[in-house]
Amino acid sequence: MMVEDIFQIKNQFIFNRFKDAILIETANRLVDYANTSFCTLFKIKFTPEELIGTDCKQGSIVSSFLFKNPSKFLNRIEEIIENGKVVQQEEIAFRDGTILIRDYIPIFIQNKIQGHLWMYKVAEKEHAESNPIQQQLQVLHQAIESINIPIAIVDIHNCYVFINKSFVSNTDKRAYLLGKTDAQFAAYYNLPTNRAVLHEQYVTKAIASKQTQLFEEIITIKQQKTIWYKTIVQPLIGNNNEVDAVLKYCIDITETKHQEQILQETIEQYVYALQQVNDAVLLTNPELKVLFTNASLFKTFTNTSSQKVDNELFKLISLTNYEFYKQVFTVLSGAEESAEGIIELIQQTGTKKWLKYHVAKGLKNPQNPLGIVAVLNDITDKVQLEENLLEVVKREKELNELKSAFVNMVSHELRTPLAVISSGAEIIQMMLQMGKSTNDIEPYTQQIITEVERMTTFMNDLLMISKIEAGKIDFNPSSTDVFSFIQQLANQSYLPWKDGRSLAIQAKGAAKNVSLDEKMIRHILQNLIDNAFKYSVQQPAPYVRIRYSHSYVTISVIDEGIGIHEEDLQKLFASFSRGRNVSDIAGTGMGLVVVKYFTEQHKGKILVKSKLGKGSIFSVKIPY
Amino acid sequence: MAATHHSILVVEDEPMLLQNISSILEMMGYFVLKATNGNEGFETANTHLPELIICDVMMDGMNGFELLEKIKQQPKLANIPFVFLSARADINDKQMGINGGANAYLTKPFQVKELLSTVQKFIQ
Repeated sequence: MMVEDIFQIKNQFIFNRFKDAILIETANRLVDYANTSFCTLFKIKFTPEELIGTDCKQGSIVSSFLFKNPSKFLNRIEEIIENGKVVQQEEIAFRDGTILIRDYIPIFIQNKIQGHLWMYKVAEKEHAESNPIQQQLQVLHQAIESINIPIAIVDIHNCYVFINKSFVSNTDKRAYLLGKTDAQFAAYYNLPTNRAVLHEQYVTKAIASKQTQLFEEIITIKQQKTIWYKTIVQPLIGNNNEVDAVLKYCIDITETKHQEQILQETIEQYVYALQQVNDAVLLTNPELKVLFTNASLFKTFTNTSSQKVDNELFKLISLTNYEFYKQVFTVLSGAEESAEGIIELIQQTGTKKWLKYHVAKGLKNPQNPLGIVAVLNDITDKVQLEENLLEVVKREKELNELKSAFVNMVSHELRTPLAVISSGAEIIQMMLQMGKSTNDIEPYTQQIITEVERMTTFMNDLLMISKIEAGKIDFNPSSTDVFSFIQQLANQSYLPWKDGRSLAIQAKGAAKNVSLDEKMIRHILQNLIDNAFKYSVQQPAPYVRIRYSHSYVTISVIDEGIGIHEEDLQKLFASFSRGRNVSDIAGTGMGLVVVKYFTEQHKGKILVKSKLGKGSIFSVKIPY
Repeated sequence: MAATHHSILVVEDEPMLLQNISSILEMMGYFVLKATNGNEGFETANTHLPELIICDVMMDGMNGFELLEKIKQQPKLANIPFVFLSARADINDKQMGINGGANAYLTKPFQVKELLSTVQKFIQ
């Protein structure tokens, strides 16, 4: 054994018995010797033997974070070494409030610096107790140590300078972590790095922004217990407005999270139940923005489960339905607790929909106030059924009235000419008995002829109407040259008519073929032309004017006859309507009903212009 | 035959029939007052106070039932016998006419002797 070794062992043996922390550095600041107390005081993980030969400068940087003012601690060391003078009983404060007493002796051999001897000891308790602030700090320190909230402080390099028991319960791990980063800790203990990365990210953010950061994390302890933490990362800003360190503490929100989860599940259950309901349910905020809708709503509006309707939906309903809009605002303003009504919607397809709605004011929740709750129930089927039923009843009633009116009319239209015929015949008989002349009798025989003609026309019209009603008249259009068709008709019956007058035909505009049912158009024209001749006896002959326009042809029958009374014009196309000035002219009042019906089959229109005593113009407009 | 100066008012909107009824009654020696609608009939009745009124039912403007009602409201006309001559042959129409105060309800077509016997019943 070398003499030096013996000296070394002696040194250890002796120095390790000192309670004070002792560090001897070589001139170039490598550890020459440290005792156990030193390692303990400065929370160094290595044994004194392991420390020998390590860089003191580095070591002091690591240890500096234990001090209240790390940079001051480091600067003072430099200063002391520079001065090369003994320092005695100098006080320095740990971050945790512990006061250390430092002594320093430079080691000179032959006037040359050979090394540095440092001695540290914890100041006497009396010293701490004598200072009330110190005392308070002590209590506070204990409280922070034992509180059940993980608390730690890291420096601006993300190295831990303070960790309480709750943050890391294992003493060894805790000791190791001091002066280290999360990443180093994770690497050393072979832990997943994601939490370390997360923490470091938020610390960096807090330092950069000088703003407190918040985030949530889940920690699984011993692979059993899961804890939800809300972690707060708060920069500690010093007098120079720089971030000195960063405080991290974690608040256990596991219970809240569990409650939230239960609440969420409950809400999901309710939402699921609401989705099963056939009625459409709608929730809005006070600005009427849609917050919730169920699937039925989309089915109601679009027949799909697509969610496109969304906000627009409300606009759709409210804009097209003033009453609903009004009710919603009545409820929203608190004027009414709830309101009900029926919305009539015309869908894009053109079909109508009826929705019964119930609007109520939303819950009074200050955090998330609801506007309205609306429940919409599609009652289209019901409404349509009711409407159909009403329609059937109405039609039935109308039909009954029509039937009885029809029977009355038929009865009147047959009985009146029969009365004329029978009374006329009896008058003739009486006149013959009285020996009257043929001239006296002639008006009564003429009456009989006219009335028989009237009854015949009436029977023909009646037959035509009954055919139409039975749907036995088919509409069979074909492309027709209107001019030559009317020319042909004129040749058959009106060149000349039975009183010797002849029909003229005019045409204006570029001739076009028109899709016509010849059977119907013949009936229309014969009826109108016959009327024109019938009601214009002793006047110039009527004429037909064909006018080809852009999208329709107009066929007008024009006469200079007796004209139609203004009041009669209005009911001209109603069944059995006859003018007040035509009773001595054979007619039934049914002809124009058929004319109108046939014109409508062509999607056409019939128009009349007439002046009493001047004549009439009947125009049939038929689109190409 | 009937007395010469008995006057009968005929209200009928079908001119040919009005002419025929009038001819028959005139041939029988009655004095005939003619009207072609209800209003005209009411005015003629008021001015000439006929001994009998023969009236159609279905007419534009005031119909026969309405004319009857109006006449019954006039004390000086209320007692004039009133006969309907109508194309409405329905039993309900007849009942309505009688209920309204008509003395007889004849239907069209009619026979001359039926008309005359009714007239004679109310004009001695």
